[in-house]
Amino acid sequence: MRKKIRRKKATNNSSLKKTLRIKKTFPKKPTSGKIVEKIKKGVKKVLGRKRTASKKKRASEKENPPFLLKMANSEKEKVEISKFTPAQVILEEPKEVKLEEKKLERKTKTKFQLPLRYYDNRIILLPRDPWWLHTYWDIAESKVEEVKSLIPFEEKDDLRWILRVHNVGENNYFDLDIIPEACNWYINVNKPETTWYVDIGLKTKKGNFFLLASSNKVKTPYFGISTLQDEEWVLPEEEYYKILGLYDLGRSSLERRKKLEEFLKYGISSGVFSPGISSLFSIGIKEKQYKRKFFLEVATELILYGRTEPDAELTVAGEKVKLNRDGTFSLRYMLPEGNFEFPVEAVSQDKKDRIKITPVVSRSTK
Amino acid sequence: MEKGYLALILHAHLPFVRHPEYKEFLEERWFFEALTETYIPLLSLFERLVNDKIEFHLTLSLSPTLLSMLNDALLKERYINYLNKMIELCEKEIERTRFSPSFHKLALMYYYRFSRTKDKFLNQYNQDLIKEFKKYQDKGYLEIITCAATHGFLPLLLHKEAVKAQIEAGVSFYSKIFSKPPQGLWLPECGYFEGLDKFLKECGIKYFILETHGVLFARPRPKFGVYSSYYTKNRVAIFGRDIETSKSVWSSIEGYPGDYNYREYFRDIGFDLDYDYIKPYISASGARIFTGIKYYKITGPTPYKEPYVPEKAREKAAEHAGNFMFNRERQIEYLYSVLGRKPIVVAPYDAELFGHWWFEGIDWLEFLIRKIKYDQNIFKLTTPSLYLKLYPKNQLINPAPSSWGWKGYYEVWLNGSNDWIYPHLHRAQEVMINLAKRFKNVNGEKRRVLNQMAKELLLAQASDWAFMMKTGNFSEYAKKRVITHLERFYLLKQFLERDFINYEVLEDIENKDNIFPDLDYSLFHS
Repeated sequence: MRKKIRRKKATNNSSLKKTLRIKKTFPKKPTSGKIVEKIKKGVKKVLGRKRTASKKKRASEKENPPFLLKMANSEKEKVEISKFTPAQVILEEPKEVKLEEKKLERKTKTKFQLPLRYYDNRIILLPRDPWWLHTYWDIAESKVEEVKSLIPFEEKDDLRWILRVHNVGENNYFDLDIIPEACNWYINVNKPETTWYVDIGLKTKKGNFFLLASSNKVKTPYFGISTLQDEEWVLPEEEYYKILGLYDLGRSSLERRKKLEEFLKYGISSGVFSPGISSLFSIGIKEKQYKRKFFLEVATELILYGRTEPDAELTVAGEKVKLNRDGTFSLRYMLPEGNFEFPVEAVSQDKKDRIKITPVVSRSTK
Repeated sequence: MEKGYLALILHAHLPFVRHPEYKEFLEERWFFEALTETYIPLLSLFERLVNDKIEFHLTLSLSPTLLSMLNDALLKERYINYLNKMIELCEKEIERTRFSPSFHKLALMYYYRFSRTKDKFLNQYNQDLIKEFKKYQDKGYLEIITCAATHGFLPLLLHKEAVKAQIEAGVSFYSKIFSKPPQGLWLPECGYFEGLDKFLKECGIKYFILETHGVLFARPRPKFGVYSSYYTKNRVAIFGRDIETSKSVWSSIEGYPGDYNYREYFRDIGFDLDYDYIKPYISASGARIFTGIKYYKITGPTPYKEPYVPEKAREKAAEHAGNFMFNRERQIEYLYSVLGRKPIVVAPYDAELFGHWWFEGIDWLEFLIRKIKYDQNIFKLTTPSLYLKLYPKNQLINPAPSSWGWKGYYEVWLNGSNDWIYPHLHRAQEVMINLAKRFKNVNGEKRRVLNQMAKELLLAQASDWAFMMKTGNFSEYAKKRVITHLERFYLLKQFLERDFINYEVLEDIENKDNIFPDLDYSLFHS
């Protein structure tokens, strides 16, 4: 189990790094005209004398557009994005970059990145479900050194990083070996409705524990139907189970409890209780059922084109068609299996001339 | 006399997606599609029912982010552009399909839908859908409830100030728009944790909805299962979701939406048609996307699909509505006989399921409401508020922490794909809480910066981002949104610390993230 978790951690971490890398390579955004105007004005006001200098810089930028570099960036970015994103989802890519905006973005972007770490010597605990907790931590190296200095010399070797998981109600704990660089961990406590907190620290070979940080307290969610009943609000057991849609739970109360537990656990973990939520962007769940490994789809369309006098009136199967200025026309039709006639008729402006041509198309599949 | 009640609850929500810095933005389409396929059709449905003098009761949660978008001038303008483009595509489609009758008919259907939608949006509703929804609330048909400000997943927010800010901002935004306080609040993703009811109480919320086991696993045992209201110890009422009604509509396998006669969502001309032809109508980057024009029915568990037949699908929707009603009659009759009080069957759904995912969902809803009125007298439609008037005395329970996400707890929003956001979010929250303490009642430009910081933080907290990272769809966009809002947040913080404000930057950020104009940063002061 632990191995599994470790591997998961590793991918987490790298996905975070990837995220941040991508962010850096995001192209600068273009902007709508109105805002550009506003910004332009602002830039004029603020920059004042610096304007000429920046003008020169801009000019040089224009002369030598970092075109190749930009291409490389966006290609790289595409590859990066494609790793995370399904085929149909591609982020909007800006076509044009306004220099003013670029400058502004540079100001806002380069200096203010999300901190990679906070070095605030903290560990936070969150509940995930009745059986699992999640924790994350950020312990500064200086703090580790500080604590290490408290460890007796003979115990300093082979220190292990430990999560000490405390069960508050029962006043006991268990230890978990962790990789400090993972920065977060999922803990299987397997006990609903119990209050927990965790300590992170170093454990010596002798088994002495040196605390680095202590977390908040968290209670795992409840699981199962309460045996606790209000006197005022009691319903006989059998009746109660029927409301839940359970009719055959067995006779002994023990058997019943067991079956009920199974039913509820199945309901929860299989998604019968919470069949999931859909929203406009949660596509893909059903789609996967139809996805085949290899496929071929073939459809045909017919292009009907030609020309006549620009002022003539043209109809196809009786429907009027708008001509281009030079009298040409081009129409495309879906072409399913079968025989089709396309009666094309042109009538001169003075209604004196009339020409009708009817191509016949037969489409079948071998 | 009726023996019980059905409470249909629709939760309408979209994350705040608005990008003035781009000419066109793919993700803004979520909003346009939902307008065309769900929100406007819902209004038309209400209109038809009222015209036919059919009394109905429906609960609708409109999330503050969605309300903000419905109110936004730029998005309205872009919606009209979008409709024009779709109408243009439909015109081409009408021509292209002229020699294939079964498709031609559908092309005409879509043309009619888009042009009628445009006409309604512009001329009948004057681009103000909120006013329309409010109208039905004022007439007593609709009970509109609110939601947390940006749909933050409350059980994982950690700080009570952050939880309170989400709720308070949602409540005050609602109150301003509908000129009265909301009765109910839709908990984002039905996410509940012990003690949350206290914050709801403080904000004047009268009731909220929980996932089935949120009520079923409550302590002590809830006497009526999920078929009644209860109170928390802070006297906020709770309603639990019924499993049966949720399965029959939600499940893509056993549920109604999977019927072979219904429209197939995944066959869309955005993917099916020749690239050069469809290119002007897909993503600006050239990637194929769903256009909303779909010509096939589900047909069966096969990749080969047959053309969609709207009349057949409508018949099915009527049949399914009849089936749903029949099952409720039996269910409610039975519950009435054992419970000794009139049961309430609470059936909450994502509003966008109707019309968008389940194309015939709006028809189904209409058939159902009409049938309930005319074809039976076992039960009536109700809203949680009405039910509480009928049964003001209820058992006191401590509801169970839960959510309506997969596996019923918090895992959807806390797993290997998205857990990296919480260290950042929690620290930013702490910064905001401390700043709110430090800068008590400041005015002028500092207040402006602090208010914008609060907005950036709220926007970063939206549960949608973690959800998208989990499902993998649009996950890159979701990551970018969390990072961008937090970066703007820290940038603004530097303005405060250096006591030097770059007004162009501030104005730029205010322009981009223009949500909640009246939001006050002191919200984060405990």
